[in-house]
Amino acid sequence: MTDRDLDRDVERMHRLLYREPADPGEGREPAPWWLWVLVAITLFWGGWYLGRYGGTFDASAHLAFAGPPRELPDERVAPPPEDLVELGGSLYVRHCQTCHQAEGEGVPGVFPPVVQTEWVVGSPDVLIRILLQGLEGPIEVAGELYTGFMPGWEALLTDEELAGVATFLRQWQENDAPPVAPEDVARVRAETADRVEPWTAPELTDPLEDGP
Amino acid sequence: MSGGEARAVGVGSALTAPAPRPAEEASRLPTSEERELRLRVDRSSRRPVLVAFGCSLVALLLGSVFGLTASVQMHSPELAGPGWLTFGRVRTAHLNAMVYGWASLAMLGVSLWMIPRLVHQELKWARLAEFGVWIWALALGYQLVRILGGIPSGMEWLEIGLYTGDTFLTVGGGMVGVALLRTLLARAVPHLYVSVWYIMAALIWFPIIFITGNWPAWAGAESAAVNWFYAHNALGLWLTAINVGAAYYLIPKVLGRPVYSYQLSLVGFWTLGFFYSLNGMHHVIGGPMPTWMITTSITASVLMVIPVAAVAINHHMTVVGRFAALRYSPTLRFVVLGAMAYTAVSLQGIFTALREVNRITHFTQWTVGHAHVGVYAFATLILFGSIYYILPRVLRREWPSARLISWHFWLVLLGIALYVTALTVAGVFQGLYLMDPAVPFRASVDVTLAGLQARSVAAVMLTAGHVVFAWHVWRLWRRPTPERELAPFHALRPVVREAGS
Repeated sequence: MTDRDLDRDVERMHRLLYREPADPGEGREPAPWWLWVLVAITLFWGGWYLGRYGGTFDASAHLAFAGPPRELPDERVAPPPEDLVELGGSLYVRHCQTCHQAEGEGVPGVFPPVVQTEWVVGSPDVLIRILLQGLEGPIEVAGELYTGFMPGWEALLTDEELAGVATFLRQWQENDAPPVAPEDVARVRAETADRVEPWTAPELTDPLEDGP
Repeated sequence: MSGGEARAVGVGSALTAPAPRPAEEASRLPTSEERELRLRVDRSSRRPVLVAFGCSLVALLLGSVFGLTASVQMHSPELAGPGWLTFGRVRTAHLNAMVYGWASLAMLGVSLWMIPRLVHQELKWARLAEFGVWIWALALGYQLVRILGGIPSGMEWLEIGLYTGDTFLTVGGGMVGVALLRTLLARAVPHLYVSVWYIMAALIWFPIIFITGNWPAWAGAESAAVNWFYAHNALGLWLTAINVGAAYYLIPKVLGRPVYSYQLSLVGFWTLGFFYSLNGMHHVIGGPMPTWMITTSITASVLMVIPVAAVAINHHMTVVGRFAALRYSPTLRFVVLGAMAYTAVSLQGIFTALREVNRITHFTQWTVGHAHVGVYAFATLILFGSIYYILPRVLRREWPSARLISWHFWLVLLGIALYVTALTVAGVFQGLYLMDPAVPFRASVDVTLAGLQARSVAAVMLTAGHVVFAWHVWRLWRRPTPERELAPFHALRPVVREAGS
């Protein structure tokens, strides 16, 4: 048997291997010049970006509890928004919309609507009380009965923010009632300082005739 | 190769830089010695490779069903089944089946076949490796049941139970790694080819990140940081490393050409290891982390353009002028498209890591689309290509049907294209709507509906493709080795040289 015969035999048995080329080698071409330009540009950019947005590699801004609070320079304190309605609108989306819904229509039987209702466009003091301490139990709004629970926001929102929400609600869509000033909220907050539990509808309606 | 040659470690060592070869060298016909070596090497890795591929295919089919179920529930929630079939569990089962079942097991199979081939040495401790694959597969199977039963650990990508699953995966994967390391130490080649760097590095990187991610010592925001350190590196240092390594082997191998540039291989490998490991924190942009952590991560993400460009040039210049070969080699078709998807997913990832883009796309369907460009269009296509190449060699018989390969290819290619397009477009609108306070939240959900429905169509196509593939593998497995046959697509092969002529 010659070598070639043996080769033929192996070929028949191992065609798969046979049509397979040798293992790949590695070429010695240099990388194209523009790759090095790209490397230089990205490294330069990376250095700039780290310096610009690196927060001086300081974690203390995120660990406020670890040391005494630092005085922030004045320009970092957000200026008060000029428009109460705009402030209130964004707060509504964040805090109220989940229950009272995107168009303020509420959910039947549970969450009352906030448009076209005396509770919102009526006495500002009633509205502020509801916003401050919340409301619990059955309430009749626009002829429908709702039984639900609304938490109070006095601990979470400032006078200005609550005035924003109240003003936004009172002027939203078809609502057209006078705005509520932060000072009004501050006054009611002081008046109701002892109140902890949410209000009930009768508590708020009884004095509605002549103001609480 | 005689054992008397110098055996310096070859990664980047100037001393062992590859000897220049004539261009024709790689495409010459193999000598009988080389063929004998391949036979011996393939026989040594046969059992563990078959076990790994078999288990990975089971996971692929299961994962497809989970994925399809979760996808349908996204737009038709009324179809939610009993508790174990609800979205939260099925989606989690899908992720784990695909990442740890399909991709990881198939990658173990690829590594077990490729490393012995590349170091011209039989697989050492093959029984240990086979046993390791079984441990991994069975532990994962049990974990899938646990997840469907509603008791996962509560972190994304780390849902597998610590003592009931992670421990077994670490041990099982470690057994495979040890066998491959033993094989590497017994190598019969003086120079380590680029694929060896990637695959062996991944086998060392993965246990490091896997153990770190699962170490039960993290809490609070720390835990989120470690979570994303792990999850991103599972992509970058595990899935990416092995699949880029496989592409580095299969593209030049099928074409019978050398890889374009050793220098580019070096740049791509080392910068991948250096920059990718820092990328994870771009998942928590806007989260309660120190700014510098996130900024460092964004910077490293942008610097990923260096390894990506290096690998893309290297692969492209290797194929260029021979794109027609994609017609006759199913392996090359899948692998070249996978390599292109690697470039695409990396550039998309860099773009998404920028704060300006991230604030729109974060928490939208865009992210889901992006994840599937990575794990599917890149990793899975390359794994399909690898299996098309490896299985006939370990089984010593040809694929029975060219038509089934075509069906598989077009179903998954069109499926993933539809999938990614639908979710990417839906994600951008969803993000823009979420950012606009004038738009009610509900609108940002409604706007994704069409995309989610299109995604379910894509999921059906992908699942069908997987069934075709599994059926084809089954037929290959069951058929006897015929006396004489030709490879599928042989008629289209442009270069055929007769032996001895």
